Amino acid sequence: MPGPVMRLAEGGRIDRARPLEFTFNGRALRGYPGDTLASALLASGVHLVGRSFKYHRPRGILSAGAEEPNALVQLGTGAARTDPNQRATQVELFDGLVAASQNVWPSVRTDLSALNDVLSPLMPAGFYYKTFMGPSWAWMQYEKVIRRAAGLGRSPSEPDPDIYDQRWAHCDVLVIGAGAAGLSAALAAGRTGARVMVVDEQSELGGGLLGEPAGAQIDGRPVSDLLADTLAQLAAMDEVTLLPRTTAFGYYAQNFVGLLERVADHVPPGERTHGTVRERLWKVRAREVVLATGAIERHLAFPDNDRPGIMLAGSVRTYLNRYAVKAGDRVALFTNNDSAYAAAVDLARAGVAVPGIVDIRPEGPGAAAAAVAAEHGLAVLAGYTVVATHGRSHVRQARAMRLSSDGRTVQSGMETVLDCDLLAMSGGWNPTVHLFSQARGKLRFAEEIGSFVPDLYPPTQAMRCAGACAGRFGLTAAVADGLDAGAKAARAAGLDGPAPTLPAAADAAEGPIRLAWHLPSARPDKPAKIFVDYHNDVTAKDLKLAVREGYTSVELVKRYTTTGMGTDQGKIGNVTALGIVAEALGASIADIGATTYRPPYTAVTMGAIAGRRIKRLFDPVRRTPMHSWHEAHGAVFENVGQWKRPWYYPQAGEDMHAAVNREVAAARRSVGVIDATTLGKIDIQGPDAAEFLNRVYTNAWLKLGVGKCRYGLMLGEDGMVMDDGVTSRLGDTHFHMTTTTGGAAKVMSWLENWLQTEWPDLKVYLTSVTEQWAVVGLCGPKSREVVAALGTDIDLSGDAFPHMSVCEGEVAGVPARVFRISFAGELGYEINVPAAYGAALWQAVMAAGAPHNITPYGTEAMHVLRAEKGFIIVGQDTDGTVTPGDLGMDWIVSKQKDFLGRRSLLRSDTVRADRKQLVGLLTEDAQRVLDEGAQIIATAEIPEPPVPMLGHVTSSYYSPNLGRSIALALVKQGRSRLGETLHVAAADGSTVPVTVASPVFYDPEGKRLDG
Amino acid sequence: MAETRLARGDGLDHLHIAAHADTDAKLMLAHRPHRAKINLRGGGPAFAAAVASVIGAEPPAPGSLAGSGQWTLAGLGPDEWLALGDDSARQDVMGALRSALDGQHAAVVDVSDNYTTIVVGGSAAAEALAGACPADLHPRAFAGSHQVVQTYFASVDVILYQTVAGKTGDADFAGSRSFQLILRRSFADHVWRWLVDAGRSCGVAILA
Repeated sequence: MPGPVMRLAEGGRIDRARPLEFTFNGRALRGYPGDTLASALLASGVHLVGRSFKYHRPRGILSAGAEEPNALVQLGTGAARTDPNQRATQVELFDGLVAASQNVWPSVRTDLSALNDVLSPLMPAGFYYKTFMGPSWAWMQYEKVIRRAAGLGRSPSEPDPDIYDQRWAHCDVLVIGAGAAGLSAALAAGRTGARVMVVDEQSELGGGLLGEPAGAQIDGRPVSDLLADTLAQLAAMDEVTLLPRTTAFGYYAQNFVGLLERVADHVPPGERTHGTVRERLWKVRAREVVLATGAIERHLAFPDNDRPGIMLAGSVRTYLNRYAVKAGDRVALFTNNDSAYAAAVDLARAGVAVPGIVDIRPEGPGAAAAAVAAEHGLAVLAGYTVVATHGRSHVRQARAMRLSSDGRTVQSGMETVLDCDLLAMSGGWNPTVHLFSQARGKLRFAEEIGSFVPDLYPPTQAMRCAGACAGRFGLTAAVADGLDAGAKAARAAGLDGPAPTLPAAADAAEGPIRLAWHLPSARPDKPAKIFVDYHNDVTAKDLKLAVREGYTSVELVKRYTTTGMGTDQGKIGNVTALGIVAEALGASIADIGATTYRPPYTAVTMGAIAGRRIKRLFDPVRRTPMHSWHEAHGAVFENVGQWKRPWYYPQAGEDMHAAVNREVAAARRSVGVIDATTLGKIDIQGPDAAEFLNRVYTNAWLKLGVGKCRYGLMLGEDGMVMDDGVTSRLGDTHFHMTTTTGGAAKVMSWLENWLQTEWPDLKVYLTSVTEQWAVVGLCGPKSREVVAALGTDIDLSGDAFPHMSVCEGEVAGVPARVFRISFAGELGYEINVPAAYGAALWQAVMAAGAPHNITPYGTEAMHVLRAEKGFIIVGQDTDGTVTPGDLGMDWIVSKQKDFLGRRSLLRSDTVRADRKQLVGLLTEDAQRVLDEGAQIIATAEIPEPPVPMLGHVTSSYYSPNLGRSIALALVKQGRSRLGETLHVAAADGSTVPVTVASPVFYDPEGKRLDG
Repeated sequence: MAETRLARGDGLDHLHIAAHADTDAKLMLAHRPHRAKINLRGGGPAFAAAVASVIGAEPPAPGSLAGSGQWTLAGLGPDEWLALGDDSARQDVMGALRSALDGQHAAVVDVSDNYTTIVVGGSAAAEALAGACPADLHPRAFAGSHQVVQTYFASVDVILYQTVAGKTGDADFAGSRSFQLILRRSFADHVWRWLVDAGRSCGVAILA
């Protein structure tokens, strides 16, 4: 196994006592706890990690964090535990980690798709839009090829075996980012006793402090001491929660912030014990938020800027100081600002050769940077730019020439060649304003740093920014800013504490940055590629072409060129792209503005979004009190909303058809029993209860006698049927309403809304009692005998207890409300008892009905029974576009009073003559059962499209009582077509002839209601 | 008159929940299906006085708890309360409330079977609830024995308050904060399964 050749002998925040082994592209390598995959690869001298998205150019590790566009790897093996598109710069190393390059074939060194690079002149911006124009069906074919060529990693193909969790949390102050600013803010807030949460995406808290060299100081204190001391203080505070490995990915309204905690991603899968959570999604409501998200370094846009071995200078410094890895043995630097000098100095101190610093500023660096460069004997090429780099799979040389004063050209002849195995570049720093912008903060372009900074804070969020993310760079500034923001946030959250002591010193002054958004090549006639977005292979030329082709909005340029649309979301290159577009438009960046930042900041796994809401916990399953009996007796269930209802009860050897026929016949010939518990029930009380019902139902309610029941239709304000049910008068001021099973919650809200907002003068109280009552429905000529056999103090005689009436009393020794109503047009009772007695009552009913061969029936038989009578089911025979008149139910619509929806029934659309109307359909072949939803047409032959549609079948069954099929349908002018022959289109392309009939198929006179 | 009295189910019979002692468990669960729950609607001084004459406490403000002796009143809205007490007193108290409120515009509705109660205790109780409930249960934010919230847990509507010592008879929860979740009967199955799952790594004790 190759030793970590690039690892320094000492230093860094790694645990050298415990070497870890891992593989990359099948090669066994070694690293240490504290490493990322990227630092361990660099320590082993591996730069080349992947191929670019479009041109398949060799790409190396560019950065050390979430901004990484190149080093995307496939982690893990197998079909379940493999993760695509993982940034090697963020993957924490563990023993046995398996990683591989993606988007390469056959290997990262020899990738055949690199032919795309040679063909690149043929693949400009918008190539796909321009080339794969049509026909539209062909896109499906193009897409497969393009996906393979421009793919990312592989998704797992088997269920994820890991456990994902979610957690709500609340705090006074949420600090996002645990660098110098964030930790200082947390400390200041924590000292007030505030409930503080500190989150940071890295495995270790400290942010940029972790990348400082040994001996670095802030305000006279060693950085390492300051960090250790701060963390110790925070850990000792009871109300402070520290969450490393946690990304704040989304900032939503009213300080609602989404966090993804990678609890065990760094634990080898084999060691994730039972019950261990892999990732946790936090949903945080914070009184105050302190954004201390730091800044991300920009690259420089110069020719050939994408070779492996060209890296961000700040990242090179992080690898050196935090991971004790020198990313190269001979490191040239290339910069437009002072920050790269810190990297150069740290490298020189670590014994790395630094052949020169190419600085595009003619005046060179600021005084402090110039002094340290001189102290370490570093050569500065002030006013130079890198015009080309060389090295096929790794940089080996950079050529620099003098840059013209306007930055557009180079002066010929003045060329310096720097031999190097690493080129560390810095184009300045972009404050990490993603969350600020997601929170609807407005940004301002700050010329002095060449980037966007927080400007207008949204009034709906309690938020402040501290340190580099506010555009204030420097460690001392970060500490001061953080302390101040933390103390202010705590105070704003209502906590008090002493004002923090701010650092006495200040950061050394830096020289000004020189903004040059793209840099020239030495050969304008033979330009090399200048990459702006590494991930999506977007070059400066692509952006300029987009502008020439008329894309003047940055949002359009982004989509046309795909700049910033990769997995890195352009964290490094977006501002540079804006600079190039602005220049091409002859405008300033401030004028053209930034593209929108949207969540998530970095990807969130689907597992974390689902959390524990998987399998049986996905959604509540509502069971009635009698459910276990139904299960034990072989019921097949159907879902009605969240409820499980028995659909039918097949006996041995029966299919659904046979079972339903048997159940339907029994309910008409002897007695059937159904579990009707799921119907919505609302207790209505108050002196104005009858008036209230009179307004919400279409029919009249004022004169309903006590002890009587009435069927009612409810309409929406649009006049369309919304719900129906039977409501009963238990007392002068007391009603019991029933609703459909699916409509229960909606009707309750609807009624409360009218009472509370429109009719507060009505003295009415509503109480949902859906689950208070278990309901056993008896249907059939023998049902009276069954109720009597249960034992009751209610007089069941037809005179004392007629159809459509209610009695309260005892049944089987239990207080009950018994309704004599029927949805099947038979003698029927619905016995309501407190739900706890539901199961026992059901069993008592089965025993009492045994002499009559009582037959439990499910929802399918119920549907057949009601369809035989032409009774509608709201939501099946109606769909929100159906009026009472369409259903032939004008008889239930009062002409004497007002009610909800009445005015809409007078609209020209609701009174037009050619509306669809509910009718019955009888097939010529009595055994043929139509498909529900089937379209109805006028002719036996299906004509050429568009086919005139007359309507559709809403309900269709076989009726054993009639010995034939029956169907309900909504048909244009249906009631004027009685006796007419129409045709129903079947799924196989044939048509079925039907005769239009009355929707009441059975006992139209209603003789059976008395048994 | 019938000679049989039917047996009562508790809504979770199908889960065959058995008492499970585990002194290491950080989560403790109990199902209390048969408490009396009476929904009260009304308002004004006469209503308050009538309720106080029966329950022993005036109806509290929305979001607050009040009580005396065996009864707790939870303020659910400006004109709505839930009275919680012992099942054995349910009929008498219902009758007494109706008599005391006679002539007023008020409603007294028995919802004892509409709702059931799951009690969540143990040192991990608040954490387990935070797994699926947006309410802030931190002692600073959730005012102990005086506060009731209507929120949701595991996408189920719940009425939630912290157990008042000596009120529920759940002596086994003594020593740690516990919470009463009052929820519609058919959702108990989902909430119970969710809580048992939440306790998979910290241990679950189940009280009879």
